[in-house]
Amino acid sequence: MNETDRIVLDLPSRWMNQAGTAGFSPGNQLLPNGSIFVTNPVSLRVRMPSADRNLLPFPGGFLLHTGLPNAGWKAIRRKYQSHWHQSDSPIWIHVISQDLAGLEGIVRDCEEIDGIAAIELGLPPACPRDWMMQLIQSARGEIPLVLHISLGEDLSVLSSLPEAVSAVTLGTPRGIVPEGENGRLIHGRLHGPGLFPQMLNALQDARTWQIPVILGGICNQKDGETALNNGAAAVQIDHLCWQGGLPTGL
Amino acid sequence: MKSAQCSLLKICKNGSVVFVELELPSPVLTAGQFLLARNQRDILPAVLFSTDKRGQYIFPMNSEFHWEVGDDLLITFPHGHGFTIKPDMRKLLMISQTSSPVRLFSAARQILENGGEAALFSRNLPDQVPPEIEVLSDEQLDEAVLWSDAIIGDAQLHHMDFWQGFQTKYQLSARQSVQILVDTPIACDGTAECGVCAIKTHAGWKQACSDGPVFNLRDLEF
Repeated sequence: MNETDRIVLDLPSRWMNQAGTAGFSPGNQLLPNGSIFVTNPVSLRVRMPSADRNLLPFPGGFLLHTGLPNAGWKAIRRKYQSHWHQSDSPIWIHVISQDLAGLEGIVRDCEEIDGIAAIELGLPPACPRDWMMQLIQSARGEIPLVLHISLGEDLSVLSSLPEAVSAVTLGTPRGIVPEGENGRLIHGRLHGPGLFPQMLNALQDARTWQIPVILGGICNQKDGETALNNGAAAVQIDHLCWQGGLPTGL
Repeated sequence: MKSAQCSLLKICKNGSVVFVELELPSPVLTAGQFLLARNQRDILPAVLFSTDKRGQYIFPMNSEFHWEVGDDLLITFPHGHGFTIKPDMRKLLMISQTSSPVRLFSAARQILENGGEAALFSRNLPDQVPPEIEVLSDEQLDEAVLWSDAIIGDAQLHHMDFWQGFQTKYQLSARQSVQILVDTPIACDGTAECGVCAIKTHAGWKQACSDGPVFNLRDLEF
């Protein structure tokens, strides 16, 4: 399929935050004006924090396991709709719903809300291609759809993506870190600058996908510029958001 | 929220606990609040609490420690809600359920400076407990609960058994305030809303990083 058939993804800035790093609304001054703001993951229904939530450092990064808690789409829309409408930043809603009808409902709602510029659809772990295609079918609409997949997943599912998908975000991998002295194994998302060589390698491989690729897990300005100079359509800043915000002047 | 650059003046290790002294002109935290500190090599900031000694902070017990004396640290402060110490509090009981009760001592200092008294129950006593603080044995705890007009304590998030049912066991009066500093991983000042520090309360889930880390015992849902 020709790339030009896809809904064009508007990228007024090639720098944005990564879902899960800056809350649900861009009111916290972490982003320069005009940067794209990606919300924390939003599900159809309320999600509780994981019972074994944890933050565990390892050399070069850390593992974060939260369970992606959120109040559910309706509550989040009620609370933040006016913020998104008034924001200078284009808003991308990161959706993790696995309910096809619910996912479609969220997308229809987003189409009615001023300020929302794209849906970023988070694929579940070990998502088969058939299920991915059903999710894409439910999430397709009038606003661009960005597919989020984690490094470490089977990336071959991304071959010949339908035109409903405007771009792919490559997120950092999941992993396991033993907890303290008891050695209990904690599963979660990995973050940190030590992952960048793997992320850059995946970006190189992604050249064959014939679709814009947004590289997540960026922890400093130099790595972000390297990714942009090597094929990334945009980059997502990881824990830098927790250290005071995106670099100015980007 | 303020930010500052400061030098690390001193590092003191005591068992599994690390104390650091920072070059800060004045106290920047109330008891139970925390500051976030990192040097240029750090990926995540460290969460530091004040002790009863001016300029001294306690480093989290479960973090990798690699700072050196002379390091320049970037700090932001103050974060979170600390202990509420009212002027009429005169008899403070501290009950520590973590590896060090030292984070409670700055609250005791306030009470003592107001002419009050402070007592401590902990199975992990530091090398030095301020002499004005009475250290209690197991047998003295019940009596001290009745004696006190304010109780503060600490606990790890997944080890709250002691505090669960504490109110019922001791039939606390309405005038007795019980505030708990809940130990949980904290990654930021609340802006990420990631939920890693989520605490369940009767009013829903709260974030220790911004709504705590000190919570009223009556508000916690076990």
